[in-house]
Amino acid sequence: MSFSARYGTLIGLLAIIALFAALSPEAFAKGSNLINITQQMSLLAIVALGATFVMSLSEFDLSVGAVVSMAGIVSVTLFGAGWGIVPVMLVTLIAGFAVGAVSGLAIATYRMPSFIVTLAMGTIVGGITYWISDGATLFGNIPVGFRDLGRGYLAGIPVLTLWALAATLFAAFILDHTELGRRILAIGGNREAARLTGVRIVPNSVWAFGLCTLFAALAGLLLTARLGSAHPTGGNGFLLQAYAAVFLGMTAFRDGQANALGTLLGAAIIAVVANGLTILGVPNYLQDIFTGLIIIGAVLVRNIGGRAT
Amino acid sequence: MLEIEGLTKRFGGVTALDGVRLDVAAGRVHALLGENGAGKSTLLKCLSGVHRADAGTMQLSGRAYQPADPRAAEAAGLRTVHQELNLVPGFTAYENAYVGRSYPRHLGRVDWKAMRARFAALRDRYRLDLDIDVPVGRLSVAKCQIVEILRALMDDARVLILDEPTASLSEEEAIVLRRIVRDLADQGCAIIFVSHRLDEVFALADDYTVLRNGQSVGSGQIADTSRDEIVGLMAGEAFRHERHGDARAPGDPVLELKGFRVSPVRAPIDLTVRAGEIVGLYGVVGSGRSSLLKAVWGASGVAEGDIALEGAPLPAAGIESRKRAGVAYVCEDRRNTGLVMHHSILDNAVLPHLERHRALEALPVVSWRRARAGVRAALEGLSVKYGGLGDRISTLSGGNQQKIMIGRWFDPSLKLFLLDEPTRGVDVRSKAEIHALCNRLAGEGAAILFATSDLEELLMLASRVVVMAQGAVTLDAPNSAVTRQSVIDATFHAPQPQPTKPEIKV
Repeated sequence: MSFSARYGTLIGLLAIIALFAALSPEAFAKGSNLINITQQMSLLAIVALGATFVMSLSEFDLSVGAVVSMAGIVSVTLFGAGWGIVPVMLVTLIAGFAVGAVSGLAIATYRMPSFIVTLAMGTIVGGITYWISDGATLFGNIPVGFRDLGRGYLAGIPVLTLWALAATLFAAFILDHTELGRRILAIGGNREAARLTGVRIVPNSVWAFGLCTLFAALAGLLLTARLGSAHPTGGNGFLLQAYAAVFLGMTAFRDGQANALGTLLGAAIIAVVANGLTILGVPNYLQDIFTGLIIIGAVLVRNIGGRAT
Repeated sequence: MLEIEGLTKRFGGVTALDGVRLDVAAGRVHALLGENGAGKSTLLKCLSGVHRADAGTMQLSGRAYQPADPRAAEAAGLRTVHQELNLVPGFTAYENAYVGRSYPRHLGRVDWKAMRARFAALRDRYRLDLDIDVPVGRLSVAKCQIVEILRALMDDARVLILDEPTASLSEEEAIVLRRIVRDLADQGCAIIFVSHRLDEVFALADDYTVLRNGQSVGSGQIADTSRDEIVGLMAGEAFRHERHGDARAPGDPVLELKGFRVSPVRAPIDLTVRAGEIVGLYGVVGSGRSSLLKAVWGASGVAEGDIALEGAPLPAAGIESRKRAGVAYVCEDRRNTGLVMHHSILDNAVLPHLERHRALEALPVVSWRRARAGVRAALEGLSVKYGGLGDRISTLSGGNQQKIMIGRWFDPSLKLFLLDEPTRGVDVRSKAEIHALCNRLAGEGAAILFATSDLEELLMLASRVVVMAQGAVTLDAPNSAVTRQSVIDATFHAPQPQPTKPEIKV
């Protein structure tokens, strides 16, 4: 494979950064802004890393946005009931894992299309979230210790950035270095071939979907920590952007396969574009148009490059 | 009607058809016979315009016939009904009949009434009881087969090719189908009929042509021949082959099947494979070899009956139980169900036994250093040629891919190998290497059960020969006790007739 096809996405990111740096040397290219971007992209990156697991399985989980919202509402509600930080986080993360695990179980056991099952699951989770919160933004009494998980700096690096880096390392480790990860990729690559070598479809699917929504729940917790409140639809916007990041990441590094590092890169591209355009004073709707064009462009370049080799 | 003379077709260095001669007369049913690989499919593909012959002439009604593509063949009045169904399940019979055809229109809209009427007329012309208003997905296989045939007859066909139309039908359904074929012939159509049921050929066909190794070795009228003569023509002259394995004394039973059914509707199978034995499973395509191997591997959820490995019973289904017990399986379709083609050599090689390459015994974490070393050593032992372990496995030759598919299961504790067509689509050299590998494994005490469509391979490699026909075992004998002819004869044996429903309407 040619150099440009292999590293095209990375080159693209650097080109976008260079472009913004040239257009706005004083505001965009400042060190503090670049660090700020890493914080802005962190929650998106975590949700997208979760989605990378199901994309590795060649499936979709459309409930991730709803799970981000749910995690926020559940955690604030539990804090309101006087629970401590550790139990709240544990219960929220387990609930997040359970959502995906149920989807994965249904999808793998009954061979149902993941697109539809997780769309329905997302709708159900959204309804439950609304029910718990009564549709209102919850403030509750969120402990300061919890809030510090989503704000502030550690050794000059935003805490959220550290979370995103940790999530990337964790996802890369699972996918590249564990039996679970290799089996998920094998199922995604050729389901029947994997099955006939004895890879068990159901448990591995349950894990992939469970990890996906676990990451979404983590993002929901961190979002709540950062904002100090939770809104019943506060995380819904992550859904499309997360898959956009995974798709951008699939065009990077590897042969069209979802991968953790690529996903991080994809999230970075989306965040850089949003940040740069905001600094240049471009309205929001134009940002969406640009992001969409970049995704189509990346896939197009990829396909043309792939055909040439 | 159709006259073929000297037809030759080569694929690379392989001559698939070598001066084939075939005369098919109008109003007659012509049986095309031959073993697997004799050239039947290639001949049919040349006829229907899929392949272009390298030499020879074809004439249709006295005029030169050289179809450039399947459309040209259809335009000339030649129709093919393939063994596999090509219907849209959600469409009704008449909607299916119009797929790929221009729809009749009335006032700019599709004229469904006219479509239905035309198809209904066709159905009635052949006196068929067929509901054309329900989606074909709800019809039986036999009725779908009939829909396929009617579709082929939408425009008057002069030559109708039926490629094993009764392979998936019950006896009663086959009888109905044969009646339709007879009717068609009586109305002047020339019919080429490929079948692996010899009794059916004798009941239905008027003429026959036998192919062997790409040559037409005999033809004439069915009335003037006998079953033995046909089988003799298909088998050919006395065939000399090196028979391996006979000298080896088989050890204790490794695999024992008793009343084992691939599915509740299939015939029960009794089979024993002993240590050091190479048992060859032979039969025509669709005879049930592959499904038997798959079910023994535990990959069929509907299997039932007794299966035991070294005397210990196994559940009727469940791949993990087989892996734990020391069984390995290599499927026939390398590309679609065997390998993950766009993954690396390394990934494919370690997939069946990821847990063997752990960094720490207790943790399910892969040590790629160990995995690489292990795979490299294994591939060296198999003389697999490759660039790097990270290369896509699709970059390797078929033979090398196949060796990896077999070799990735190697383990000192391995007791039974299930190999489905282990040398399909590999070059001669790799084939010999895979044969040597099987002999080596058997020599080390493993039991091998392999399926093949290649008679030469069967007689060369197997120490014991098992023939299957229509899902049942029809021959089970040591290699030294069978002849080429007796093996082919067994592929035509229908299993014992099973009690069936009193009436079937088609």
